[in-house]
Amino acid sequence: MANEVKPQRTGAMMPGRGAIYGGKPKDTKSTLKQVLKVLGKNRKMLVIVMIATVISTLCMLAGTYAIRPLINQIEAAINGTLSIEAFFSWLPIFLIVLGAIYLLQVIMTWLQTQLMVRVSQKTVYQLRKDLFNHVLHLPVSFHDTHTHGELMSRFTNDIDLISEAITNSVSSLLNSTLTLVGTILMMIYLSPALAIITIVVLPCFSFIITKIVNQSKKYFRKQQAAIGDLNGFIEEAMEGQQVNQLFCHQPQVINQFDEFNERFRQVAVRAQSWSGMMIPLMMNLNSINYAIVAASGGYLAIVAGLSIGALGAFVNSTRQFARPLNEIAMQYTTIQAGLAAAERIFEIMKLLPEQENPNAIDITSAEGYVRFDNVVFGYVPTTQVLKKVTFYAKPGQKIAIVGSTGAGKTTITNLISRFYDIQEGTITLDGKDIREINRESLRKQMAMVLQDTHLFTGTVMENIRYGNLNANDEKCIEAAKMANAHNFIMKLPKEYQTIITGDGNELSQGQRQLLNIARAAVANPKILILDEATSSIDTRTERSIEKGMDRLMEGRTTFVIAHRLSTVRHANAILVIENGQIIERGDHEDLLSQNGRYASLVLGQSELT
Amino acid sequence: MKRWFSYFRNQLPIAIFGTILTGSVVLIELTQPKLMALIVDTGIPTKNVGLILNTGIKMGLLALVGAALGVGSVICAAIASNNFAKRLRHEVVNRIQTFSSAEMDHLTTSSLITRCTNDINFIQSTVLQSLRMLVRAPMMLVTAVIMAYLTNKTMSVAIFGAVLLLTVLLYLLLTKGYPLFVVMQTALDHVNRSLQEGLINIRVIKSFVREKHEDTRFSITNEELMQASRKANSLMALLNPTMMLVLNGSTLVVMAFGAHLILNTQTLKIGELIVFINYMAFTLNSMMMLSMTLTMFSRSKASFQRISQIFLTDSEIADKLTVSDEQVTKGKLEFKNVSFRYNPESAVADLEQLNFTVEAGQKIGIIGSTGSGKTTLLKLVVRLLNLKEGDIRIDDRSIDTYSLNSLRRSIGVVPQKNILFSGTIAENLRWGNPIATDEELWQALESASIATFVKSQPLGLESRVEQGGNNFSGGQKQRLCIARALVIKPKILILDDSTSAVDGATENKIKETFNTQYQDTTILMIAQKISSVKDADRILVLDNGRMVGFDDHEHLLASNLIYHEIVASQSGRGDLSGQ
Repeated sequence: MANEVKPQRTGAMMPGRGAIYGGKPKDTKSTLKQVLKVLGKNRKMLVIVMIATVISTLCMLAGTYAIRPLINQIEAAINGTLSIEAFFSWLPIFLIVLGAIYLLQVIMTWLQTQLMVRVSQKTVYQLRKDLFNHVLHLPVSFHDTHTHGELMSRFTNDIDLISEAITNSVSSLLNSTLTLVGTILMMIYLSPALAIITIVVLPCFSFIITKIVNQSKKYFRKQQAAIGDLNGFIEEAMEGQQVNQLFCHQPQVINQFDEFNERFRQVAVRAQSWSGMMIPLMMNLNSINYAIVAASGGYLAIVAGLSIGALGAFVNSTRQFARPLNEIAMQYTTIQAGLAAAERIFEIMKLLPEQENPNAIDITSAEGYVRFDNVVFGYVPTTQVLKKVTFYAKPGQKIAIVGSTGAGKTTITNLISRFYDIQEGTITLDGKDIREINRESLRKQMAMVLQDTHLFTGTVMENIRYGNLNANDEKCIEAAKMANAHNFIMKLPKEYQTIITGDGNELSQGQRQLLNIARAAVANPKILILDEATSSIDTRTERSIEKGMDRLMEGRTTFVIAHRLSTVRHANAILVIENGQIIERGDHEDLLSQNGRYASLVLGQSELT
Repeated sequence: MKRWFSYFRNQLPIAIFGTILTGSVVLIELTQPKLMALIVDTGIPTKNVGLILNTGIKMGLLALVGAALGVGSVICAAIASNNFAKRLRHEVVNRIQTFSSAEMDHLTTSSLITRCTNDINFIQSTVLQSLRMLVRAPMMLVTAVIMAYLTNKTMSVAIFGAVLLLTVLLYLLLTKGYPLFVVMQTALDHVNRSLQEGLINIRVIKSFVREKHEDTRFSITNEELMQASRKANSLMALLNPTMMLVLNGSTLVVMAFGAHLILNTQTLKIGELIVFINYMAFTLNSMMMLSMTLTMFSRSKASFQRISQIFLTDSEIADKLTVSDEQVTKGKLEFKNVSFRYNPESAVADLEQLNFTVEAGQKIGIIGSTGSGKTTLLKLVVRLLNLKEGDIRIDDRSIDTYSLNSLRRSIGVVPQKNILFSGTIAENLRWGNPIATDEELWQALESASIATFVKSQPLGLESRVEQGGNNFSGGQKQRLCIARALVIKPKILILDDSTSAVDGATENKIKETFNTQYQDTTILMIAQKISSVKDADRILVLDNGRMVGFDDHEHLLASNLIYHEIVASQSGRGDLSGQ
């Protein structure tokens, strides 16, 4: 009966989604081991849960069995083998004992469910914490090769699957197995003949379950593909909405959409029909079983003297028989999905965080002399992005790097900050190989302003202070003034205490960038990296923040990477990079007079791709 | 509500049929214990083997029928709910297609995508569950109670009592639980936000060595989520023991009462007692089912609301009843006292009192800082935004007297964001003019200076375009978008910063083509680069939504401060890039 009251996880799109979409773990054994290790932190609670589950299951079995003595006694009273008075003096004792058993069952169930909530929430909390911490410490190369969506899905979907598996499956699996075994034993005790009949029906059950599960798996896979197509189409249509409107293309969009919509509907109906079939089929199959038991039990009662009490108890347990089977089948898939999810998480946890050279030294204050010597680097070893690049920047100098997309400009910032380590050659800071310098202390010497202008949810002040957590309010305001951000901040509703959201629309892009500049300023670094920092801002706005930028660059070794040429004009040296090599170097005037690539870029004769 | 129902109406027959099937299954399931009682109470005492076998076979057959009907009802529910979802999806997408650019910005593209996908899917599964459960559970409940009542009136008091008690308890649990789940959802949103920020800003975090700081920040939200979900889930975990408590308690009452009725008043038979206990389980069980479905319903409320919001948003842009399908013939464009504000309550207008006239065939440049209103102006002309103040006239007629189709078929637009669609180059070029010949396509490609590139592709016009056109460079995409707009042979062509990624030489070539081959076409060229607009017949200078200049390059340079500033910002010592 209880198979019907199983809470439907409403977060799941379709019933049994996790089971069907979650896939199977590749290496069940080692994943299971790791999961147990994580769960092991709550060993005491788990032991109590198990004990409670065993007790409550036994109580339930006892409760089911209890109908036998009751009915047998009533029958005895009717037949006169037991006096009515004797029966009624027996009844209260029976009821008290049964009541106690029932109460124990309730208490144990309560204990078990409450503890399981705790265990699963604690485990999920720990997993989330560990995973986030780990991901933060993974090298940038990991983040560059995994999309945010993919990682978010580890944190949301996969953690959900695990939590579901722990909360529902662990105790329910234990409970179901015990119930099944207990029920079978009780059946055998009540009537071996009837028990054999029931057990024979068992393989039929599992045969039908597997058939249905396989079918629904097949169609859910198709449904998944269809919904992917449908969602992809919707995405493209929504993003291209204006173009579609401008070109009066909506009727065609709707027609095409209807095709995708219909295709999805067809497979969805199949998938959901198959998966939904399970419950009515199981229920009614069980009724057949029930009928067989009732008929043959009645026959046995007449022929072989099976007591009616035993028959009543037996029939009751038949009702209970299908539930654990059904449950085990369902939980098995949930657990598999949970394990597969856990495996995906552990795969990330297995990756090594940024490795530190054990002999690495800490630096406290750098001069800012940066030198690249024959640096060779590729994101994948087979394709070199930088081919023997050599250049230097003296303390306080401003170096601009110009070139097409993919030419290797951003790579240079990736290397200076040791987001990636080089394959050949050396990069030195003040003459020390940066691989010999502790990463954290190296990064503390520099600050970056990047192209994308994301911020953190919090106040304006907190966002500026991000550059230097020890900076007091005055320092932050000073930095904001330096970055030309103070004026607009003072116009915000709560000035520096205005809460901004990471991507919210409270600020324009230019304003966000000014905050980023202020953040870099408060860090007071020796080395400054501006990676396409102004490319999303128009030239006039850029002009207005130029002053802030100029002040920020004063006295710092600065690397400016730019697509737009107006930003690089004042650099001490401009490096033009194409195909991983420096093809021209010199200041603005030098390069113009060389009349090469730079000059043609400036004159607008060629296009940066 | 009426709208929702009208979308469901076509599914009513199948839903009702499914409901009837579900009802029959319930009746069958509830008949089974009755038949069982027959075996126990009549068959066994009278030692009637025939009756026992007969009844057994009856039970078996009924179960088979029940299985068939049950499967049928599941299929009906799947069909009805998915047909409904399909209709809903169609209506929603259809409606969104008509939204103005302001409405799109307000609801945001990403949220609209979620609404069309996740929200509708969730609604579908709610409908599916409801069709299965909302009928089954109450029916089971009512029938079980009635049958119990018919079996024995006195004892059914116990069932009524149990139902009442459980109703109160479930009500308390659910009403207490709902706000806890709201808190949990908020906490979950916070966690997701921290996560997302941590991932997006990874370079910033690492460069400032703020891993520990982020870790602490995350821990706070993570802790908050754990507490909230523990509270909510602990409360919900009370459901099972509560239900058990009531069921067990009433079983005890029934046993005591039943024994009394059998032995003292002889008004009950043993078989009936067994049946009765069975019915009680059915009753309480269906109450649980009901409460589960109701919880699901309340959780899908948010999805319903989000979809309703789409239906409640009436696109502000629609054809008036009196529009004509007349096409634009010349291409004269006038702005008369045009003001526009995105937020109607805002004191500062996004465009303020624009007055200017562009004669047919003129080439106009529009320049100004980001946020000065250039794109807004463009959107007003093609009615992606709805004009509320002032009048825009094309060929001396207000734009809203043209039908949207004829207006937009006369105006070619190259939007700022170079969106191409997955498909082939030819398909993309024919976006606005499905009947254009290959020759016409080549002509447009030629004018946009991209024909050579397309010819060099192995598949030519049939070359694949990936989603978003990501297999082309920015400059190539821009030129393909220009070609796409030219294919509709527009009277007015508007380019919104459409040559920013095109190199100077090619840009000049395109402009040259416009001047020689598109003499009759009015062209508005929005740009950031002075070099893109300086040869225009006139240049419109926008600053904070106001028109501060409308003249040719020389005059503006001589007299317009803002224009001068823009020019200065684009020219360095050598004054080269601004040339």
